[in-house]
Amino acid sequence: MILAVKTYDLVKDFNGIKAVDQLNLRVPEGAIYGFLGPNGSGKTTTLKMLTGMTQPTSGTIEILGEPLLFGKQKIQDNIGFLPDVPGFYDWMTAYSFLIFCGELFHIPTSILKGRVTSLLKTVGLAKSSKKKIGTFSRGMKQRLGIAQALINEPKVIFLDEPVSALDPQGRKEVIDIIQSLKGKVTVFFSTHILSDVERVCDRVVIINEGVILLEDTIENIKAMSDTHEIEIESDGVSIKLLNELIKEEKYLISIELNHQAMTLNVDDLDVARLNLNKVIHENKIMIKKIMIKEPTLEDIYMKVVKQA
Amino acid sequence: MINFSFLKKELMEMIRTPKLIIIATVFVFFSLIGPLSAKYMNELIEMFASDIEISFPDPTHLQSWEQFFSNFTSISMIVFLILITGTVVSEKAKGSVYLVLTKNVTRTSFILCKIIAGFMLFTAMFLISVLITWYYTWILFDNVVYDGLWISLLSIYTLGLFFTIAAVLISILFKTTTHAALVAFGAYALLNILTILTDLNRFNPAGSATLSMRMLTGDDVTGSIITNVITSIVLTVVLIITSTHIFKKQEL
Repeated sequence: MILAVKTYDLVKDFNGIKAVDQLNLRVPEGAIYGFLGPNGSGKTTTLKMLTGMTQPTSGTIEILGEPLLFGKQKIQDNIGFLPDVPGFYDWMTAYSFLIFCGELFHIPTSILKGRVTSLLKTVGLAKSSKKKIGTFSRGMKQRLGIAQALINEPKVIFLDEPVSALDPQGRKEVIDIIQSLKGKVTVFFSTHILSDVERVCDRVVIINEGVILLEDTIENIKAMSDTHEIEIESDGVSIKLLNELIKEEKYLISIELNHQAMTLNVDDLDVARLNLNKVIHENKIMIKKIMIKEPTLEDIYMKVVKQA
Repeated sequence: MINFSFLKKELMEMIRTPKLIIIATVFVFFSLIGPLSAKYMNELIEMFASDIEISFPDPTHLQSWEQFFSNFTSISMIVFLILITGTVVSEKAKGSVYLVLTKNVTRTSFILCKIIAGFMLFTAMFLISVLITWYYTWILFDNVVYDGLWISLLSIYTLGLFFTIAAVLISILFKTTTHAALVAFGAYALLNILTILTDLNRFNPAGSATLSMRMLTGDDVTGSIITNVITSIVLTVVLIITSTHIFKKQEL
């Protein structure tokens, strides 16, 4: 398998404080890869090392199989980068800025003009293409940032917190763009907004304090979870009755009672389900809702970050 | 080596932002003021201090150049220096440096474009200032050239190149535009204070103004001015190499 990004024992030490500690990343080509972690966990530092902006203290980086050496990088043709706070030249228009970015790559004008027009359409800025960037909202700037990262038709793009500073509308627009890139380019993006990750990512890695806590596909991560919780909703009397009937069962670890609902934490989900069905049927208890609680990425994230 | 699209952006930026207007206004204003104040200073003093009797010799074109050397190397140069110090630090503070350096622009090319654009701006301002001074000196005094004018102008020009690259280097080293501007002003002040050590003026780029003034008074210091020009050029080259080297290794 070709790896878009591969790091080996990557370390970044800032005066004795390890921002990134022996990070081993394996990002398959074509993936939309979520890079998760709380603020200050080393995400931005990692991205700056991957794009050649910061020198690793130790360890190695390979982008598309090519080693990345600080100060001698020849990777620009294959990568695109959107930093966490992208700075534009406010006096340029969106169109002239993208033309400028293309010219920095020496893309011939005949090809460049068409590409800029199509990118502006992709990121939903076609109508604002002649407006000065200084007048753009944050969301528009972020979308322009994605367009500039794609100007050279890169194989890998690195996006640092592309949605964190945006309102829900802006976030949705940016996530839709990222989703539309699926299969066309490897997207490596850092974030701490988990619902977005769940929507678009193929794989995620969760880091904290510069160390990898978890790395896998979203499905595997969810399946891996040992949460065995059953939620039951009914009227207050039925919930009380059910509680009385099952509280001595061996599969039960704990019961959390609310007014019209209960959450059972069980050791064997199948035994619990069969027993519950039987008790409810035999005692003619009217149930509003019974469901197995699926762990969200957020639950897993909170769990691994807290455990670390 | 040089990415011309980035250089083009640097030049366009000067035109599209207030930078060029501010610098051009200052340089043009003080170039105009030089010959005019040389010509009418005596009359102005007489007008405001009519009760004191002082007799001044009639002004000549030499006073006009004296005003030029003094104004150009002080107020005009300080404004230029402070505006140039923003060149790299503002790109770092704003974050645009990441967008440029992840394109096909090497760090060396990035800095060289900044330096070339700075040199081009300074050269344009220098030529405009000299031409304005020249023209009005000729109109007001019927005389322009004197022995030592060309070498004096060359020393002022090389001083400008030196200050341009010094400003770029300071811009690379500091994290905020305010810090960079303060340090640049400090460096300017220090070099100018050092001009009191007259024997060292030939080795101090800022000594060019003092040496040029001495030429005006008939003191032939051609040898010292030539040394001063060579010093400025050598220091400029050293600072170009230092700047590119530091920026190449800098963590952004």
